[in-house]
Amino acid sequence: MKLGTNDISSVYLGTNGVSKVYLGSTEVWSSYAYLLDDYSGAAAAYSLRQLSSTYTGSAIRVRRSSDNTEQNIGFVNNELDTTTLASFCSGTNGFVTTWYDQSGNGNNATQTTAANQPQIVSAGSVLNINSKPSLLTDGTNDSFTITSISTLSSNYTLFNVGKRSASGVKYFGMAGNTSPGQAHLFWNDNKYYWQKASAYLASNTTYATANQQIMSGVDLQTTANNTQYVNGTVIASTYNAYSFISNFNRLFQLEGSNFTSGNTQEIILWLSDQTSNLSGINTNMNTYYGIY
Amino acid sequence: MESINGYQYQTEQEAQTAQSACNAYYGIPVNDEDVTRNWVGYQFAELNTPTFWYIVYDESLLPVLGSPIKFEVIYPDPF
Repeated sequence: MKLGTNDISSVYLGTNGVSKVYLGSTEVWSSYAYLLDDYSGAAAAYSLRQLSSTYTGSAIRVRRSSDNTEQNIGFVNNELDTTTLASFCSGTNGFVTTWYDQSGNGNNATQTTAANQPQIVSAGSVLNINSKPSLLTDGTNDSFTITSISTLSSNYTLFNVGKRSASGVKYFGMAGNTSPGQAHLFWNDNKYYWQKASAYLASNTTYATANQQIMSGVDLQTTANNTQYVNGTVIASTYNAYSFISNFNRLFQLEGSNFTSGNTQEIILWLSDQTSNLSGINTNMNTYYGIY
Repeated sequence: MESINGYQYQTEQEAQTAQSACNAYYGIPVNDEDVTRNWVGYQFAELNTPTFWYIVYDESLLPVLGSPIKFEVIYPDPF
């Protein structure tokens, strides 16, 4: 909403800030910044918050352990509807069968095998990281399948919000499941790896942290030595020429036998160079998740 | 090579039979429109000689498949 030609960044009723303004029943202003409204064109976008003002679908589909029935869970005020989620699971465990794609491309992430489904509710409690819901993957077999996305002939930018379960375990989001596969890895040697089409970058030092973080990287087809980032900061890395299979077809599973151990809240892929938007995207994510 | 605690089968048909037994025990799928189609998955140890199929142990499998065994599976090198 604008006042003249100026965007309105905040609205007050007396001295109290308001989060939304309605004209009749139509929302005309919100203090919440939809990530994909500001940075459009994502190829796939998975999150436990609403990323686009035009997305009308659910966030996830959940199987409860008490009777294995499933139900879609949507959003309330742009956040996962945790009230409905907790009520549905009713003191038992909840596992995610589908993480819906909010990009508009319909590339929903699914897991048809119960034993391999990431967990979101434990004994009736939503699994939060830093007070926001997250998906827990066990590092053994939990993963999602997505329709293969080729990066063979395009630049791409990949973002991931989450944390690994402990220092020295494998953590990653979107990946290729045929060896050698693409991914942005926080590996069990405590180094970061950006495995892209024609090379991999390996961080020069090790990082013992298991804190929540924003991992990102950009692959430019015409540039060999690109950059990997954590929380918007460049990770000093060494370039190694290598040829990876140029597609993504899994979340949390790499090259068949490697799985993520940790919690994840958001994974977004753009098949384009988002270098100029990296700062803005990081700010949007950090404003919501409060990571650094 | 990694040590696996689970169930080992010489043929894919045997692995499918074990999978079906788990589905029947847990009533999967509950509804036709459900995403969940199987209780547990099986994998192919293609780099082992001889090759075999296997299911990774989970405590939910104990009443259906019985006690697991330990065996080695060869995985491909990451790169």
